[in-house]
Amino acid sequence: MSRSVRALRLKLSRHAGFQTYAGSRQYRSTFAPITVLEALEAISERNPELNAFASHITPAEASASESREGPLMDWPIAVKANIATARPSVTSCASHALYTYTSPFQATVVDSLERAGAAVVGKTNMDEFGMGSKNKFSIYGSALNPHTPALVARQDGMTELDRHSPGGSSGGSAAAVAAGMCRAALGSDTGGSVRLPAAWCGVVGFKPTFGRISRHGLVAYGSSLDTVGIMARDVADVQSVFDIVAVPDPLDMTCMTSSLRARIKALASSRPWITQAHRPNRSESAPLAGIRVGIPEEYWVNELSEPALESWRAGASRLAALGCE
Amino acid sequence: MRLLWSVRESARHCAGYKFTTNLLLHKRYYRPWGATIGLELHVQLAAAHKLFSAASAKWDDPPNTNVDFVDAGLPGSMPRLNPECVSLAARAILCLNGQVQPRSAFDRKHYFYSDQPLGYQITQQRHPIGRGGFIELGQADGLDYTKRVRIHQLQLEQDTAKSIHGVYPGYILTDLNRAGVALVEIVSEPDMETAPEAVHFVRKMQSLLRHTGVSSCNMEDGSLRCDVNVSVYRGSEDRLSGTRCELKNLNSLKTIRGAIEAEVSRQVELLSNGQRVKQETRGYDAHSGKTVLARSKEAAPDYRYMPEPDLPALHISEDWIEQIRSSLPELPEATLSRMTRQYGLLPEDVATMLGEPGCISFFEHAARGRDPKRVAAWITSEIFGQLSYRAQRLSDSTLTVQQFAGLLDALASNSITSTQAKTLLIEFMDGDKRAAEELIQAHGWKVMSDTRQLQNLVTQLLNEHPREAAEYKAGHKRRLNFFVAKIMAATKGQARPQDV
Repeated sequence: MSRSVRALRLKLSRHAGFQTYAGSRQYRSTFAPITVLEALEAISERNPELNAFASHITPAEASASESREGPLMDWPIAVKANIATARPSVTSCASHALYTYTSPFQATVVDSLERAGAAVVGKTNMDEFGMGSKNKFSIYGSALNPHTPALVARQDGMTELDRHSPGGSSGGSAAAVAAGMCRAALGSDTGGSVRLPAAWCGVVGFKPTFGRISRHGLVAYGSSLDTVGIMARDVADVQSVFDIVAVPDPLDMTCMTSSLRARIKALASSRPWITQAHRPNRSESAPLAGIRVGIPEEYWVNELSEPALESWRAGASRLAALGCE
Repeated sequence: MRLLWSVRESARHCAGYKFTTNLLLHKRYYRPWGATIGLELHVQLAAAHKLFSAASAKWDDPPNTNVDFVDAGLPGSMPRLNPECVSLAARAILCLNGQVQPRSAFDRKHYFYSDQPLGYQITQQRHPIGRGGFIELGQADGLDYTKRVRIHQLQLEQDTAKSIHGVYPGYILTDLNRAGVALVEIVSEPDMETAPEAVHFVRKMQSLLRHTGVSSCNMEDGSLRCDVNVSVYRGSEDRLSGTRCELKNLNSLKTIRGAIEAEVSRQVELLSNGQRVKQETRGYDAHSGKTVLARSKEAAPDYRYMPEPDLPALHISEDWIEQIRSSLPELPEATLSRMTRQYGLLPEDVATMLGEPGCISFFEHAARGRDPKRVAAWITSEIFGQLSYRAQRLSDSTLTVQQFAGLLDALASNSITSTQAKTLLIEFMDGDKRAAEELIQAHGWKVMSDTRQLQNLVTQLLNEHPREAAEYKAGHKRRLNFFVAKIMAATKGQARPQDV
């Protein structure tokens, strides 16, 4: 967005009283957009098998609510069951303890998304209170990885538990994104619970720095480590959602203030590995020249499977081909 | 061998309880037993809202009406620090001569009980907002000697909900209105040695905190709660060598005094008989006058203190502390010394006036350009007398400074007699809003300053009462009053006794 357009928008917002979203540039996604109604169709089609959603809204409810203008207009978002929402009303954390619990308040992240025009299509399956890595410990039963062909599983005589897990604890969210049942999903990451299921389901999973995204409304697990994470099919969609939810929140005292964010931004943009000045060798053929990539040797363990090792090697050689050290 | 304490008890019955207290302190070289007393006070701050939520902190609202999400411990709720509570805590620290810490942090103290919805209390165990400080006790506070009691620390913490027992058998009713209300816990050093010192300490703390607006500090409604730690030691040993017991649930100053004395007696007796004192938590039974076991320390819970992850550290700047300091009212001691110097008043009179909110400023207004001693005398005797007769506080009274000033001026210029002035005062306090001059005119009073008329009256009286006249001449000065009274009656109070 050009500077003049941005300035005009800011001016309009001050007078007209509607929100602008700082930095909400339209990131171009490589995938076709999914509307709320399309998502709900996909849910009714695939959720009975995948068990990614603990609860979801109906198409009638979706059409009844007025759609809002905003950068995320008509985006279907799946929200993990440990994040408080008004609709669906139950925030169970996949536990008997909160099986019918309706929160009187909504999480700040959900409020921000709704104000940006998005709609929460459902609450996703998870490990109880975030304690697990395979979405196995849930009152709703396991969620399944969409990439496992159902028919093959039965012929091999695999039991349901042997079918590929989507990972956890945000397994339902990852499966929902991978199966096209939503455009983006919120999860929670305390010790890998967004990154792991995203990797297992082949989607993008992003864990922000503690304090970037408000935790007000996220049921606590390890309060000094908990974060709300974002999953989507590609980085552009994740970034669109991040821009909406990574804002200061006075209700969460550990959420970074706007002054702190500005200070960090100023500091980071002065760092040599970000500014162009220190990348003299960059060219068309070597667009990442000057960037040094570290690969931990300790990760190369005997238990690492061949496909995983291959994928790792391929990634490293691709980066080298692009000019990295 | 209850030497000293039995001496105390017997001395209490004869004149000289103070004597025994002095004995305790002045004869340190011969002291069989001494007591080491420390206090922990929990003071409810007079903030409008709770410490970590926006719910109202009013204590007398219907049950469970002032509850925010975090007070009820709802999943996903988060605490928000209320800056007003920090200001009040800073005021308390400054008026106790302590240091407001530039950096303090919050901790979680975990224990499971129905009055603790979160399962933990947010407190400041390790990095409190205030350290150090002291309270000086002296003559003005009721001790014959001066004693400085040091403060160890002052920390912000949450109050628990109120548990109501006995309404439904087998149930504890919980009122969450109080859950999350801001408290400061003030921990004293174990500097106190007698029960009266402890009681005066609490009284002085109440007066200081009320004066600075930190808290209403009432033990009756629970805005001040007091726990006491008591240990005893033999005269020659270290003061801190004894095992201490904690006394809890002390609901009034009288209970505090009784509990300390009972506990000291108990410990002395145990140790005298060769037994050990076990570290315990005890309560006080006023009926038997003895402390009773409440909870043994061996079974005490592990609180699993951890830094509060939902709250960052609290940083306070020097400027902010200075702002608070400059907004503090003049403390009672400073007022006392200033007024005795500035106006030449007696400390007792100033102390009396200090006890009545608003009285000092009332006095200072009225004393401008007038004789301060006279003003003070009028306030402490006449006005206070009227107030107590009406069971009123000065702030509730209809008497204004202007009315009082007018009264004093009229008196000083001999326009009215003191009897008439007293009548005026009564009328002002009954609700008459007119100025002094108006009222005097309305009454049509005039001082009988015509000396010839007076002399005639005197001569007349002397003739009527020759015997009393003779007695007076013979030297019975008191007979003068008889004549004065007669003349006052005759002139209907319009003569001035001095003239007579």
